[in-house]
Amino acid sequence: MSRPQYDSSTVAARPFMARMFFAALCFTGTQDIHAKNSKLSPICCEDLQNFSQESFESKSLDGTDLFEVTHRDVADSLQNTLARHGLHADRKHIKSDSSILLEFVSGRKACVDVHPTGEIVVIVREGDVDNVFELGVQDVSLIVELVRDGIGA
Amino acid sequence: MELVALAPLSIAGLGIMERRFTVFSNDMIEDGGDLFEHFFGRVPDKESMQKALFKSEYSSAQNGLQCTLAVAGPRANFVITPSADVELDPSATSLFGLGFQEMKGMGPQFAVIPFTPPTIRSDFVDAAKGIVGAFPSVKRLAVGETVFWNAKSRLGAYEKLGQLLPHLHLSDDTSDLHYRINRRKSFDVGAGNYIDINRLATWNAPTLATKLSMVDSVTAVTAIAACVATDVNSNLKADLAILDPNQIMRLVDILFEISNELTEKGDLI
Repeated sequence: MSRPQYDSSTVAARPFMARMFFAALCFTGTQDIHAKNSKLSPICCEDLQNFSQESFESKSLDGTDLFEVTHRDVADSLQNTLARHGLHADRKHIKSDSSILLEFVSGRKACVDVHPTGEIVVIVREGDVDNVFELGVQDVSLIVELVRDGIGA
Repeated sequence: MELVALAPLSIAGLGIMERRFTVFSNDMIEDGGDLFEHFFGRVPDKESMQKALFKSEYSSAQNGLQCTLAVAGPRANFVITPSADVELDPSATSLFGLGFQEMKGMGPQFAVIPFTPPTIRSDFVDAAKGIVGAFPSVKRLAVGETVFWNAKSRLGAYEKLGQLLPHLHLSDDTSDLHYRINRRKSFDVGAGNYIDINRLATWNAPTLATKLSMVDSVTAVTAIAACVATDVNSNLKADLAILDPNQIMRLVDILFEISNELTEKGDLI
């Protein structure tokens, strides 16, 4: 019985196809792991390269012990606090320096700029003059008053 | 020989070394000093600020307990731990029902630091339930406890941990145990409202290094303990603002009950 004959292109293609198939399997496998990890934990595959116990615990959204408040959290809660006082931001956006700007334009023209470094800058326009105040999280009442009443607060 | 500083390793049996109650508000938290006084029933001795972390910290140490409130933007962390510097003042008033005589009666000379008696647990729960109403809109709640059990050796610590983690098969040739797991589960807080709760706990066997400062000498002491740290919290995605005050109270009870269960019964599978 004669062995099956292959032309040279078929023989050359087989290992290539096998490699492709293997690569496809690997790719599918990685995707599955990524998807599962994403469901279980915010730590994804790319983070594992720089894994450390502390970073794992601080990044875990399920844990609260090492949870660090970011300027995004502060901006969100500040926006809520201002809204509770009837001061609804007309626009909210992230600036190129990562700070988050809340703009009030429909009533008194004012801005609240929350920086990652901890500063909260309030700018209140009075006529043609911009009054700038550098405040912190302990000055929430003053921020509310400045946005509501201007520099007369 | 007068003892002027105390060591956690001296605690006989179960010792709760930290108890934490955390409130994540939807709003910015103001008046940390008032919150501190409301929760702990005393005025803070110290106040500090870390601007870059948006954090203000208030603390007070009396009667062997360190009370701390860390406020960071929308988050408030109420913590009690044994105080590093204990002033043995017989006239000190009680904190959470724990007076000087009660602390002194807990054991030998070194055992002045609680070993928190049940009154502290129940009073802390009451204080937690009392403070929640001070926040206009609560987003998330968390309870954390760190409990140590004295052990004479690593094997002794593993023996205790083996009771709490029976599925781990800890034996003489195991070491470097650090086991952390979250077993999420939904709980009914009333009126058909189910809240996802993260039942997160970490078990390990740390070496405690402590300085015992006497009047005339300082002694460094190390000891091994079995340790569990719980972090029981409502899931990030569940905004608690939808709950009424009674449901919030029920949730606070549930969080403390779960934390207690984790420390007493171990990993709940």
